[in-house]
Amino acid sequence: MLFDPVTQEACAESNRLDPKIQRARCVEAVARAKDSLLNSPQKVDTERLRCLLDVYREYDYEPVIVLRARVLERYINNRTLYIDDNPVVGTVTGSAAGVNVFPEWDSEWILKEMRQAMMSHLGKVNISEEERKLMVEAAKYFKNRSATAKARAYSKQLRGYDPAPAIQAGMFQDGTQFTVGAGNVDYETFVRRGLRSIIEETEARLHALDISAENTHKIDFYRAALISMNAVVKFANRYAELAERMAATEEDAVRKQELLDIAEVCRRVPEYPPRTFRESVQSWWFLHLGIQMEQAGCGSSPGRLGQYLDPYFQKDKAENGITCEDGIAWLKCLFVKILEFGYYQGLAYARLVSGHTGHTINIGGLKSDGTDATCELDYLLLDAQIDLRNIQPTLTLLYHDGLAEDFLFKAVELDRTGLGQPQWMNANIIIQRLLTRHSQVGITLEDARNCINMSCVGTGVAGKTCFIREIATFNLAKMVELVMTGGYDANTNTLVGADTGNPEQFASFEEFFGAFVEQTAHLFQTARFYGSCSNKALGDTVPSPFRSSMYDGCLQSGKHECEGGAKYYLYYSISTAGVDAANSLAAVKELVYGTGKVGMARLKAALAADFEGYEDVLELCLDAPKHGNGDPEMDSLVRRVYDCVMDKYHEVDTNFYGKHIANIEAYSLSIHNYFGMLTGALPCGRKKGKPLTDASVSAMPGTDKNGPLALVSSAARALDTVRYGSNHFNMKFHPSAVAGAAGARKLISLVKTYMDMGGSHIQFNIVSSETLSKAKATPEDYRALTVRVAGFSAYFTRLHGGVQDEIIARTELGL
Amino acid sequence: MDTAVAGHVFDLQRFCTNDGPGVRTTFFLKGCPLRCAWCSNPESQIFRPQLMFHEQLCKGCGRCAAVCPSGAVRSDGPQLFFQREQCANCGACVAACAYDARVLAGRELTVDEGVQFARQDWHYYMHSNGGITCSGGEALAQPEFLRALFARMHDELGYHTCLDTTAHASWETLESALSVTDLILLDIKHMDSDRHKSMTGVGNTLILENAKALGKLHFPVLIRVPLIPRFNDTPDNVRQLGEFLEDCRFCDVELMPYHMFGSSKYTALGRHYANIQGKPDVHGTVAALKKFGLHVTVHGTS
Repeated sequence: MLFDPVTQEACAESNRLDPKIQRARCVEAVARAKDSLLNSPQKVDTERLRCLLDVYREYDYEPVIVLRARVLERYINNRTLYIDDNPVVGTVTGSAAGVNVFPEWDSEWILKEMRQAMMSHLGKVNISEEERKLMVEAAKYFKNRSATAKARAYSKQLRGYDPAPAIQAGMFQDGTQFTVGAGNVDYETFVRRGLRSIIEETEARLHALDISAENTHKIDFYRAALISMNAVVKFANRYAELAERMAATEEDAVRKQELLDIAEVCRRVPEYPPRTFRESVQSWWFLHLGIQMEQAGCGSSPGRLGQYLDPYFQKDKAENGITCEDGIAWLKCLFVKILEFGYYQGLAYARLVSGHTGHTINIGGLKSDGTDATCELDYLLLDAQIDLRNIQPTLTLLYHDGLAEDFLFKAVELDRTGLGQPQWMNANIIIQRLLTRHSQVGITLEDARNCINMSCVGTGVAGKTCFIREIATFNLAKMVELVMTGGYDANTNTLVGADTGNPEQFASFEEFFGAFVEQTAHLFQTARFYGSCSNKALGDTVPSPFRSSMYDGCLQSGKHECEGGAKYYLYYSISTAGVDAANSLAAVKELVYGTGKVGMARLKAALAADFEGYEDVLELCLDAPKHGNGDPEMDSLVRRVYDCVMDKYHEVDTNFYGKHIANIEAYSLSIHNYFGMLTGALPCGRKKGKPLTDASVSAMPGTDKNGPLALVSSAARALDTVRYGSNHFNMKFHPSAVAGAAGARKLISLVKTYMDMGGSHIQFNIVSSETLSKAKATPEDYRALTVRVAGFSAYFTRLHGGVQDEIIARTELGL
Repeated sequence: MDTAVAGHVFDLQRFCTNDGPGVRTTFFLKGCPLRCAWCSNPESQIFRPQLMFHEQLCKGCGRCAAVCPSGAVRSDGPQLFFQREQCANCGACVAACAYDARVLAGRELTVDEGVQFARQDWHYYMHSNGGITCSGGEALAQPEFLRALFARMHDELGYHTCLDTTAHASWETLESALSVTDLILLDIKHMDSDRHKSMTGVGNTLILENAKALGKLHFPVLIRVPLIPRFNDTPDNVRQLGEFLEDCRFCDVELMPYHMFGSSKYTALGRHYANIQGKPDVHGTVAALKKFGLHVTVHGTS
């Protein structure tokens, strides 16, 4: 039954909890929630799987977009709800720290890994015997129905190409095995208007459509959008009912009133526009949960959360006298909600992403008119995070020269906590990048200025950008390895790359470099074709009607996200190990073709033996020029590698989203660790199986010897930050380097200089190596220790051992 | 101005955050008239280059032995023997070593090279009100080089220049650098000349006279005190220091508590490290100096 807003306004006059009492309760609830999250493992929740299997059998006559809406609807109507002491209510599953799994993307890992230990960013993932059985049942059902299975089938049918050997060899990782985040949907509009008004508008659009061949997909998308939007309204109302039921039997007067207040808020939002700041927070959270229940995946950014919720905060301050402390309390309630998210999609996923969930909130930046966009809530977001030190959400500061000094100082204060936040991004570079990337779809300057970091470091236009993988990620170090083996996978002795012949025949470094370029071109020809197969399979299997309706452009055009309906696409492939490739090429150039100290045959033999018995070769390889030392010749080689890679990528004649051109992102999450396990010994002196270099412009651990400024200048020059979708640079500082106001000013001067030189991303790791070593030895004493690894924060003690070692080894930058 | 003038340096460091205001590039000049027992840069003391051997980084590969022209490194099977007394500090082994176990401290640097090095970081000086610092060793022990380098930095480029000195030099030498120096970081180690001599090898007369003269000129000076336990943190010495600074009308004092970060360098030079035990009384010293109306900061508080 629809409720009457007028009646509800009357209820609003009731005796709500005193704001001061409510604030105290928020603070206590946050402390308890954080404590319990740190101590409780995540739990795979299988309620969604039951709904999924039932709906697929019941609605097998519906087109897939409607089927997907029915899954969300069924799950929302049937799932367990609970309310704990956090006054912001709603969880993604029916259990605390619950994780949904998505066999529709890929079911193979479930069948393979069901008995192995499962890890997520909040620790071990728990699962009961009964749940295992249901997961296996679902996995079997989707064995041939999953997006991955379909992509493989399309690829074989269209071009006889089987990507499995290349994927197993560690050349690339495909884009269908894991769910993917939404990018940044238009929360601002949805919070402001409320779902009811958008549902009505969509109904009008549907009713106005001619039933025609041309409109057949549109009709289905609108049907699906309406089912899913109504389901999310129902979701909030179910919470209102639960709160009312709990209040009816509650004896504590304060708790009773708190529950009634919760019920009132849930009756109001997200269906109708928020009247208070609290309601705007709750509205945002319900909308976000809708997206996460439909398709949980890394990189669903809240965008400029502070800036679009600030009007509600200001109004509430002016009309109801709420304070900054109230604002911070509500933000903290939301932050612990976000912290609870976890994704689990198998071991490969854990190694690639290390449980990162990519909830990146953007602060600072420019307005569409080019003036500073910073608002009061941006400051409060920093305050909330300085207190909480949550690994999720993360904060990204969009840097430009017009930012206020006190804002920058507050950001440094957060950096000093050692959390590795905020990430600093260069707004002006992002604007140039977006104007270039989206030129074919007619991006405006206003949209480009309204840019954000919407994942780990991927950038887009706020509220309008859909986040889609092409090749999930590829491994450039492997391309050097393939040159050494003539294109053969060392483990299986099968040809997986281009047949570039025996490198002993190469007469010059240019020939060697040419072979590297040829391997890269071959990789893109095969992997990008397969990326298009993946995207067809995703559209055929898992289009998401709810989040599609939330992108600016989809409801207007009647096309969902997999049909090109969103206004902009961040359609990406992630490049990894560019620095390892460049360092390896430099070593070959110097040792084989320069000094001649190591012949190609000997280098090949040394690499094949993982340097066992070739210690002298290893020494020479380690001593060869390395990225990160401000050496102009080396800097230009790194740049040449990145430029060639980009050229070869764009030479391939395939682009699934047409004018929404695919592009290369350059960052690593923990992909460098995953690919490291699959990559043999390299001429740069890195041994087989060890992690590759993190980020995309950082130095190989221990090889930056000329101090931080040399590293900064090399990093700024390493790649074209406008052509590339991102760059990613981690710097570790000892806390003494940034102590006091003078220290803050020095850190800011470093950021500004790096940005002036064309850098687009930098983040600081302010900890000591001693602390990290202790934490590795006695993790139980350092449970809450957070550290920055490649684009994200994580609990240090829960990282893979290889990543831990690498962080400890990273050069202490002489400070 | 003679830009071909060269000096002895043992390190050039970018992004220095503790040797004067803002972000700075610090030139460490080699050679010093003092022999402070606690010195954390023992490679700074003599003018000529010195080989530093970091044994813990050595993998015993023997390539140094193969290139050593004076037979200072001998390999005997898997064992390597380094005989420092035979080492001519020529540096041939440094290039051969792949592990940075062998480093030559000290080289010639021309003013032109120094200027070129410093200019890499002009952005940082501008954005942080930083600049150039000459430290040591004792920069005033190479006065022509110091003046020529600072003249270029200060007069031609407009960089802020900072001289970090023991002030153990003639007044004429010190005075000749003032026109191209913006700030002096002046170390005072002890107020009693005999005690000073016992731990640094020289008396303090010249240092205190120079300090007084700078005070009279109202030259910008930051007094720095390496705070050594039981040596200069005693109430008596701190009181005398306070009185002296008050007389000179200096306002700012920075305390640098004793640390042992330099100990591995002594081993690398084949020298014995005078392991000074205990921690200095930082709180007591700060409190006592503040009574003289001084602004006291503590450097690198640990």
